[in-house]
Amino acid sequence: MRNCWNRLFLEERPSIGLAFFRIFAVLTVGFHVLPLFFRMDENYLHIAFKTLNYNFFTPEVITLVQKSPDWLAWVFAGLFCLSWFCFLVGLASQLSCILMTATCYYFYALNSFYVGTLSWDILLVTLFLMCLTPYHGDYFSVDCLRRGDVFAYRRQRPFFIQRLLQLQIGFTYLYTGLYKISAEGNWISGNPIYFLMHYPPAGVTKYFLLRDFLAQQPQLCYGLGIGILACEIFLVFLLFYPPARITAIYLGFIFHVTLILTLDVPAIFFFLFPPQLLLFIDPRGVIAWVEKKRVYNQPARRSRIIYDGNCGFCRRSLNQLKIMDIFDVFTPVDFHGLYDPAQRHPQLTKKAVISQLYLIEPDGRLYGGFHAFRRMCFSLPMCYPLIPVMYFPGMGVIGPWAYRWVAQNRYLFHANTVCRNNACFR
Amino acid sequence: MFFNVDETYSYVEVYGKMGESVHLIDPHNIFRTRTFGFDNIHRNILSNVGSGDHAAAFCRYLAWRLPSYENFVVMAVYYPSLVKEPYRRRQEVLYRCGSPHKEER
Repeated sequence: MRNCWNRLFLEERPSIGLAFFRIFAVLTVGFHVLPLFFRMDENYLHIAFKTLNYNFFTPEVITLVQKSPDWLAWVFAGLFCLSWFCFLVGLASQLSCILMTATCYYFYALNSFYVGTLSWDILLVTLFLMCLTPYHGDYFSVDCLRRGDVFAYRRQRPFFIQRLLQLQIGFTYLYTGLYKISAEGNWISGNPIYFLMHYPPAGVTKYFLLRDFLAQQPQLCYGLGIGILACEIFLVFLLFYPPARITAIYLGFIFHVTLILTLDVPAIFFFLFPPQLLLFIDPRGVIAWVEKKRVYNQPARRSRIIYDGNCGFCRRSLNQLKIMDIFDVFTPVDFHGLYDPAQRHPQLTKKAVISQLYLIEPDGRLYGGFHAFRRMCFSLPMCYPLIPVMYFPGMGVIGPWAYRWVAQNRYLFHANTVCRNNACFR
Repeated sequence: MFFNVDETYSYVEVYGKMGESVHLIDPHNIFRTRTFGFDNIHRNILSNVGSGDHAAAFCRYLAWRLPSYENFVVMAVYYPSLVKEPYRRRQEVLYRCGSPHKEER
């Protein structure tokens, strides 16, 4: 029993899956809370129309929160935005998660009118679980860059948080299924899908392709309803049974895509649950795949980054790049160790490599400065969000200018007494 | 969610009186907050204001949000059977909002 408990909850496994899930959890929260701040007066200030959720909070908590003056709501909105952004980029990951979750609870107690749904309650439980440990900041985060561990992607952590999140989503499906066939549900005795297809324009059903067809097929609708019921009840068992796991994950994805295409229901289901289903993929398998990729990218297949090894700022940046380089596709080369840079590429000269960083790809293509950095973003999963920024209109002019400025002042960015006043730049 | 779906359906409509004319107010103009991926109004969020407990707060909010209207009428729309009689709907006045900041039951 003890071994089983240890294996299920306390065994150490890589935390990369949890770090990946963090991004989706925080985006889901942002998608639902940030739009509310665009109209603070209508949602949270004294004139707002409010509903209070006494099923979730005690009357004392609600009374206390309702005494908030408007300025306090603004303060909490600012705190939410700050902690949300920090949690998104993984800066002080656990602390920002706690602050963000606390502000979410505050705004929920202040007014549950817009966000007060079952899915929001589920999301708050997810956030509460994520507050318990800092494991979600182990990778895809600023925290991992600050720690400087090149092998941060395979850091081992106790598995219990990921296991609890697995249990949460599994049992959410199970209970929603059971509730539909309990005394309060009518999915056996009635034909809910058929009724939904007849809802008026103001109703929750969208005008999707097969709606009119389904509205004429009560038997088919009933069958679909029973199918959905069976999926919800059995999904938890399929998810925890390894041979059926991938099928169950696909089934869950199809379920949520269908839901968002046919019904106007809170998009939390769509944004949060599919990534949460991915937590069922064993992170040890993910890391084994990453290691295979790293072995495949032997030195001959790697791109060379020609950099200035005398510059502390450059060395620190290169170390951070190695942390982000999960597939080991780059080999840094200090140009001070090269007799002639042209050995590496015929277009390279001493003067050129001093002025900016260069990227030489295995096929011989050469990129310099901002363009090299932009090219590198495609090989670093942590930099994928920067790709749209790098290619934003105008970046072709602003990017090289900003890069040139940083490159020319790079000796000022590190504490080297010899290089004060940028004296090392030639 | 959707634990019990039957063939009845109800929602709330808000009418505003301006001079001699009465307008059905688009609920998206009453609650203007937009969220990602779904329409709060189609989630039937306006049905929350149908309860008498919320009448005073909602009337105060309406008077602030749509000051060009003198009075408001909050009505419930009820479909007794969407399958058998899809076009039969009943309407009932839930409450009226007088001007300003005063509601009548």
